[in-house]
Amino acid sequence: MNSVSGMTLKGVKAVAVEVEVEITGGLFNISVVGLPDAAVREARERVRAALRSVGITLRGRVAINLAPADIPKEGALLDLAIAVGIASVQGGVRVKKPSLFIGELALDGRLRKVRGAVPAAFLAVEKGWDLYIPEENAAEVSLVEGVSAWKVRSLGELFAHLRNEIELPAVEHCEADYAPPQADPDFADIKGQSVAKRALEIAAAGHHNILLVGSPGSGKTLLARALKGILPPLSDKELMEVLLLRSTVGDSASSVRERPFRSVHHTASAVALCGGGTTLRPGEISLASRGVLFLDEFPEFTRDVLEALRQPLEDGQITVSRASGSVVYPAKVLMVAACNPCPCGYSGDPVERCTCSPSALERYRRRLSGPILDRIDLHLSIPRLLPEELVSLEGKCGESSAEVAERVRRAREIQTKRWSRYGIGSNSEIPEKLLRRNITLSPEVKGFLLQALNRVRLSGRGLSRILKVSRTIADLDAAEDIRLEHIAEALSYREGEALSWMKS
Amino acid sequence: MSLERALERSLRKINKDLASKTSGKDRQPPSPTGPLHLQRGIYGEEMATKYLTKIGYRIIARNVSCRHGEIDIIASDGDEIVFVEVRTRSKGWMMPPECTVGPEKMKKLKRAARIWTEKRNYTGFWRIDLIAVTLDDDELSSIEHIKEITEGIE
Repeated sequence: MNSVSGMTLKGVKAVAVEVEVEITGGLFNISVVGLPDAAVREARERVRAALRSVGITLRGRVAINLAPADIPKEGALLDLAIAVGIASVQGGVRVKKPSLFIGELALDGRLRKVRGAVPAAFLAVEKGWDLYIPEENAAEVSLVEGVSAWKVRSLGELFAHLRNEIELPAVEHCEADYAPPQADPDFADIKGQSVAKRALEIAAAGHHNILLVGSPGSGKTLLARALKGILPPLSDKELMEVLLLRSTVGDSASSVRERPFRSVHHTASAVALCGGGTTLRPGEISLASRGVLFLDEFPEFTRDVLEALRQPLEDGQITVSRASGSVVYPAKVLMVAACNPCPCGYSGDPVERCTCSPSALERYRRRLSGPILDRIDLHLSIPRLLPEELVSLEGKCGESSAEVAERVRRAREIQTKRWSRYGIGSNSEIPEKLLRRNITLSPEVKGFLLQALNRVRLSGRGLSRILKVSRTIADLDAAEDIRLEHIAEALSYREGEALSWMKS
Repeated sequence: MSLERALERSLRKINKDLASKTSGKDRQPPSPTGPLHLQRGIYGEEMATKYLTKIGYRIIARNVSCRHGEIDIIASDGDEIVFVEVRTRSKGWMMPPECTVGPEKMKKLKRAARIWTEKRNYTGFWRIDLIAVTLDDDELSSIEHIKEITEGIE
């Protein structure tokens, strides 16, 4: 029984790859079978040089089989498993326990960092295998509970360890600590915009999507960036999900409990945003899962990119199907979209005059489709500040990010406590049937809502989104039931003047 | 078949073959009076053989030819059979000797070596080496031994 395994990524899941090696006489030749991609095939050169560096010279016909044969193998992380497989046939190294080896080899036998160490750790835990990882991947793997992993610096060290000559350092489990993110810019540094600040607070507390509309220079981008400073820390479950995704793309964050914040330029393609490509990689919407996806200059994105966001925004996950297979990536993002009210940017501005022709306006409006706007819970207009407000340099401009963050954290705690038995963490994720069953409205509130619905046209989804936002506002108030003022505030973000220019 | 046994058997057969060959018919020893470049080649092979013996290889055969080409020296290095191509050049030539083995020559060498091993049912390891002998005024100037000139990785 061969106990040397490597792994390959399928979406965010690791698939165990058994490495079988046969060496027979003849002229030296290495062949790798089992659907290797270019990086795996090139492993032959790296493995040969690395093995030579530890005194194992390859000869004869070396056949390497990567099983299961029908799954395409990708990446350089199979190097180590192949090297150990060969050494266990020829180099007098014995692997006693079934083990998982991942790592890219340097020509001199050192080990390089790989992407996918966290999925590998989950696989090792699930199967009860030992895990050998490059030293540089140790930090992320140490966050996975119950894994018995060893840090490997070089091939020589690993072989000495397998021969019981030395003991490699084990990866010790450590709890993810939370350092509050540096708020940059801080809410206290942003002048005015108290309505926007309040809306951002609601968005952060309930993980609701938000659209900022305003003239150039009104502070849309600044406000969006300030959102980073008030997001609540990742919970344990969310942390694992984020860690998994970060690891599959080889991205390591500085502070582990910090929510991702991905800012995407409007030239991004649908594949870059939603995931895909020949080797199936997660897109920005998945990398921003549990965090913020910031789309500045929203209408400038190509239409198919924006429309591609519709399904993941609704379902919180995205299924990417390609010829090489189909995978499901999480996509629970807080989308922040920012745009100007018109091409020139001054439509609705009290001072500056809008110079756009009606047809240009029409074209601009058509870029934002109804369905996509319907999926945004909070619509917000950002007015330009008055000259008097702008020049007031001294003094604080309201609360600091830390104070707001504390309120947000408390509101999120209430939500987590309420929804944890259904496996959801925030108000924006509440499924329809739970919403109807768990949210009770007093007759007075119901009457108000009915009146409002008669006045403004709202879709069924629009209504449930209003209810979710109201729930978040109530949670910020630490209120048990949704009261009239909560519903009214939620409605104001939905049907306020922010999108009045859309309808004229 | 274990390596040792295969090698032993193969060596026995080789020796038998050699014995029958030398006693056999017209195997012309390389003439010491041929054209100058051939003389140099023979001298280079001589030097290479001496060198291989010195570093502990056992010489199995020399100048083995078959339909697909000639192998200059066949030797054994431990449990591995080494087919050696010897290249002799005078100093000051345009190309160093090791650059004169191209893909065509390599193909011929591989084929000849494969036929040789298959004829003898040898299933152990083998490789192809190059020995570059450089002459300076018909005197030995340097010997360079390049192991494993086949790539093995396409």
